[in-house]
Amino acid sequence: MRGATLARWTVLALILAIVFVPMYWIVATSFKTGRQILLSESVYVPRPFTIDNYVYLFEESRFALWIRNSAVTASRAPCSRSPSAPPAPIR
Amino acid sequence: VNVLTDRRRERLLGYALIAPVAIFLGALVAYPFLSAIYLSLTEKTVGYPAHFVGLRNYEALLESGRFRIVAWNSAAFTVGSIAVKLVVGMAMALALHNVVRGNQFVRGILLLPWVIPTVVIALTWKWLMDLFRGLINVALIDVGAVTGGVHWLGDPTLAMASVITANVWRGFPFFGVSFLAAMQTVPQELYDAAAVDGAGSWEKFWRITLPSIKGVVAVVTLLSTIVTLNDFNIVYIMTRGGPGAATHIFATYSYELGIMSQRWGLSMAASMASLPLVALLIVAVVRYLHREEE
Repeated sequence: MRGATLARWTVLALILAIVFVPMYWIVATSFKTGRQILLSESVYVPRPFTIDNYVYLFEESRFALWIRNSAVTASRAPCSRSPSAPPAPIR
Repeated sequence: VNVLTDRRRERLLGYALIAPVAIFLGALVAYPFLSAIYLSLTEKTVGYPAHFVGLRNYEALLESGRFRIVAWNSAAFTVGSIAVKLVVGMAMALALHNVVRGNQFVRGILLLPWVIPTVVIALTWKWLMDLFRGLINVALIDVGAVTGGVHWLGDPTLAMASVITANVWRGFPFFGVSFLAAMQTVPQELYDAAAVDGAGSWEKFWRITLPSIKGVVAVVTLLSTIVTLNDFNIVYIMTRGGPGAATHIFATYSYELGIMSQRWGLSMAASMASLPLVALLIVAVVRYLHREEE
């Protein structure tokens, strides 16, 4: 039984790591400057980290409009799908 | 009141009630579909009227070496993705099955790839696999495993494996969660009885778990096969079908023919190529689900 438990947690840890790394990369990149990204400086941890991207997103881009568009599209989507099409979430 | 007229009225009401759906489906599904079939039988360039050429587009595709590569790639992409998703999904379900503490939490995290928009996933993987700046190559060089960067998306053989990796990353959580849900409906008594008979974990899996959840496995596999065969985003964003045509699949190739080269007839013929297979798969899913219901 000990071996089975060990195997179980090894598999889980492995799968969690595979899922986690790209997610971490998304989040970490969002705190980097364009220079850090393009010159691959501070690849693993954004240092120094910046919140400029978020400031830009909320203050200068039309983020509110995009959210609204997504909400509108999502709420209309069910009636524009054909019944023969596979259900949306399965990819 | 006459019975016949009553019945007639009822029938009319029935037709009236399904009319909106029928019109809706006709306009949004049947019309584009039929017009695609018609276009595939014509030579049509944007701005010029279509003229009928019969099956010549299909002949041209069958004769072109590029299309044969595309067909082969689609098969490799679909079979490769589904096979790995099945294995990883099954491993995930087995690992989480009967775990009491932290089960919800781990399941929640593992489902994240499935709720992130596909475009974001494709861009992330493209970036992760970047030759000079991608995390994977930087880490491999730092560890000392390789000296130069690995051409994840530039080498014809690796590129296919790379797009399959991104597709699997996006798709395996759904497999895992579905299998897990199915496993939880298998009665514990079966396992207890098997244990009394001296069955090990391996036998329990092959003799009890797998046969009990095979319906779910079949439906998930079929549905995912349909969607993977029609996949576009991941491949197009990561490699644009390249290098050469090494990762071109049906959808990206149709797009290249139709939108980039503006040869609509040929493009429609290419997109029709996977239709018989997809239709067969859809029939299989519907029949399977029907049987499950009864």
